Amino acid sequence: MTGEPVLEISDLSVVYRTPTGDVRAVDRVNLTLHRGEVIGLCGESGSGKSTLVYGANRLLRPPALITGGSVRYSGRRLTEEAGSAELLRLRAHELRRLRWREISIVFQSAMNALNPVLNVADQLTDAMYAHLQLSRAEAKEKAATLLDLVGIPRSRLRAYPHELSGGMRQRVMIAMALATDPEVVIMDEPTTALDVVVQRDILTQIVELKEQLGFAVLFITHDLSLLLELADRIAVMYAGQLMESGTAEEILREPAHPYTKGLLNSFPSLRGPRRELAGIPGSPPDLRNLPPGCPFVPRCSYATDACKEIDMSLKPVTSSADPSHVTACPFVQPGVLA
Amino acid sequence: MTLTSVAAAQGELAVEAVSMSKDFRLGRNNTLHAVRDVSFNLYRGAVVALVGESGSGKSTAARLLAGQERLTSGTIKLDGTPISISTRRSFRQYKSQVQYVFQDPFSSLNPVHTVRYTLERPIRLHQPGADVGAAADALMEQVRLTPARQFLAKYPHELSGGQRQRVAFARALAAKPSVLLADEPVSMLDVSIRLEMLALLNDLRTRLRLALLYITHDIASARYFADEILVMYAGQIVERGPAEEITQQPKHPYTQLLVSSAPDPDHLGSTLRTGGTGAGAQRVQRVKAAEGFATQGCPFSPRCPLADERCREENPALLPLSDTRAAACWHVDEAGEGIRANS
Repeated sequence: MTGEPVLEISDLSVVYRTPTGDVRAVDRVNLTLHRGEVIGLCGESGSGKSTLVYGANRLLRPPALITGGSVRYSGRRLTEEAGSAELLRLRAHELRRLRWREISIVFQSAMNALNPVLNVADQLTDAMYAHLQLSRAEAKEKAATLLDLVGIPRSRLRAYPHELSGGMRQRVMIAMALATDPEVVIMDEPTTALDVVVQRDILTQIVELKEQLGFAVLFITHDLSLLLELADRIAVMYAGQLMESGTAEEILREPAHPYTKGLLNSFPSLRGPRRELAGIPGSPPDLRNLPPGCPFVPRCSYATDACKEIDMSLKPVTSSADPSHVTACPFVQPGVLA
Repeated sequence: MTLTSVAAAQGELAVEAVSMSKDFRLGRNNTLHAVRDVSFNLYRGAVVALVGESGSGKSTAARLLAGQERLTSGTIKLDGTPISISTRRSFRQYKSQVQYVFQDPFSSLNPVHTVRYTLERPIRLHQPGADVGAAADALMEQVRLTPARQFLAKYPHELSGGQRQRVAFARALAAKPSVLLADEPVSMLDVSIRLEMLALLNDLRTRLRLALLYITHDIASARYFADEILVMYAGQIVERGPAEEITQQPKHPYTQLLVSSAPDPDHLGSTLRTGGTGAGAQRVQRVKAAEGFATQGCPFSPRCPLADERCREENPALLPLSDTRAAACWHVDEAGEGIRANS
């Protein structure tokens, strides 16, 4: 079901310059998104997952600084003319054309991301006027179709954000991201503030829309349990680095990194027998002065002295038939915690 | 048949809510019945979970118990005595027994005060004559923020979300309460930290014999943490019973919807991608989120796949199913059958 790569992030590093030293928020991360694929990017607050995707789209302002790497985008519309584009080298006006038209973002907390003084129709058509040559009537019609798509009655076109519920606002955000038929949709915690019934509703809708329109999704969340159902592949991030990446099935059945194992053992399950849950004791490290070797050592129950010397490159999991199931931990046997 | 709470096995009765109701006047001829005829008991050392979606009235119910809203009708009894919060003094007396923990630790702590100030104020108010410094240290030990001295000197912005929520717990415990009302205490925290916080709460209720009301929309965490679950919808309790039974054999169609909406890693990929919902309750799957509650009949009837004429006319009462379970549904037998057939 997956096609050729659309977005290739290689060796991307982002630091935040602070008076007390550089915060290495993203450290040499590689991530490839294929056409029509859902990749889940998972990690705790402060693990650098949002910084990674905002950095890749050049949406960060100083003190954030991209210190290395490349981000290659090859959308269908581009390949016909120019091959692919290196996002980190584009000029401002080229970047502006590409953003939203090719790569759009559903921002965190839809509660605040909508403009409170514009009604739904104005928010939806704004991006269309900027990127597509549409008449007022066409744009209005398209805005109405978009609302149909996300399951909001057309009569709400004239509504202002405060007149909508949290779930509806989130849907408007998703509709906005789809307004220009992008190839890649980045979703940054789109369901965090919503309750479970609405959350499931929206996730189901995202999957349906993806099937229908064929865009690729990069889905950022701290809740691994959501991704297991939603994503084709999952990348687990900790302290600015990738810890493990593999298909949802592999991550659930054969997690290879102790951090992934810990995450899997953190959420209560509704079905099946009651399991003993442990969570992950401790808290994330200070990114200003990371110890050498694996950043997870202080919280890891398997840690040995050798862990302080390993390089954090991702290596294929030896017991796995799939070479794309990779882990940064060379020591621990794959498998769920007993 | 009279209903007994499974939580009663844990300890003596602390708080009774008897037919609590709360109406909000929204305008002329427009009244929101936020809480309708809700009764339940909290017992020392037991956890009762109040589960429901946004707008179901679960927070209002807790705010009524906390004395932050006035009851429209009904009674709240503390240790068997009906309470009346008419004066500041009686409010303070009540507050030292019943404390409330807010959802969002990022906004519930005053950013311009240190942790020490945040904790010492309630200690002075509720423990007159106590050694304030020692009491603050002891509180920090209880919520495992150690070394206490170091954390007491910090401001909220210097703490992580989990640490802030621990401070919020410590502040509630400063009043030496017997009842703790925790309103979504972990929903703003990372998944990896939630478990630790629930373990801490669990430890506190056992050690301090607290009666705990745990409010959440995450029914899976209620399964692990609570003794009894009360499911609320549109201001009413629609189903109640032991946590394990409610989550494994939900009887009310709304509880079934909640259970089937929870992320289900054990049904990997299957459900979302094929457009269905989790195991069981297939019939509820296409039901959209609430557009509004019915004003007549059963409030769930507009979303319920089993709804018929009777449901739209008459609101079912909460009737016992066994000596520990009850549900408010005209079709509770069919609904129960549905789950078994589908799973």
